[in-house]
Amino acid sequence: MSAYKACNKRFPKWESGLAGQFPGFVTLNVSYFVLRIILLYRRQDSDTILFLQVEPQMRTSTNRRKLSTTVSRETQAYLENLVTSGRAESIAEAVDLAVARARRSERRARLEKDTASYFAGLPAKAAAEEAHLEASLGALADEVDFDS
Amino acid sequence: MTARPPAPSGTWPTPRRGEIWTADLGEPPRRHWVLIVSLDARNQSERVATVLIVPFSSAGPEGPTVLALEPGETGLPGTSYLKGHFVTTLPKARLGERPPRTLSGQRMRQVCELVRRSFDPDAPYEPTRKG
Repeated sequence: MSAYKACNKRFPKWESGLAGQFPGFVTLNVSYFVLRIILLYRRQDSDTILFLQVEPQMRTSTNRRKLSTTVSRETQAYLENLVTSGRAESIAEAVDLAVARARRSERRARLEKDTASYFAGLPAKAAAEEAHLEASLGALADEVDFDS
Repeated sequence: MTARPPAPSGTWPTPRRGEIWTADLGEPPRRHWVLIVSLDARNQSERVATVLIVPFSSAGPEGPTVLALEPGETGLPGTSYLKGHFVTTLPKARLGERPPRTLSGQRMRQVCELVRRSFDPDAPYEPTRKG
């Protein structure tokens, strides 16, 4: 099921807009989210032009920004799948979700890399301090009553 | 399981969160500076014999789990490096003296993130890029 059909099913009060006049356009006006999504299919060989327009009276979030760009067919299919599978309410939310996942993955990789760099690059004095702290703090465990 | 009886009054120090104390660590004991990070309900309780601490080191550099603090903020003799990856449980009986400095609430929030980055891969992390 496409995102278009999913939105139509979830919010039956949509307006066809330009769709009737221009076969290449599909316009959705979902009044509940006050979010307008215009998809122009097959403008280029492999890309889909995606317009997301968020009107100022949108109730769910006030810090949305308009985005106009192209995406590959694979990306479009992925975003639509996030909507049809129920993991996102709209294409806009699917984009947010995908970007949030990518950012989390980048943050994880950076933390792992910087942590490895920290321990690998310790000067001799700092490495000796680390070793001393490890030994001292390890010995403390014998003094702690973990049952209390 | 029975509750631990309260310690006789004055047996243990009763530190507060954010305070810097000395502690004797290792065998033979060697004096270290440590930051108290556990909650005051635990720190002040006479029924709990331990606190959570993060130790200072005199050697750097900074890293994802290490924060450099200047003497003006800590009251310690030189630049000190707080090592979040060494957060540990310390018997209160091991605590020694307390200099008058206490870290600010904002610093303590940074320390929480520091410690969290040592075990949580999704911890907030925005390193400052130099150069």
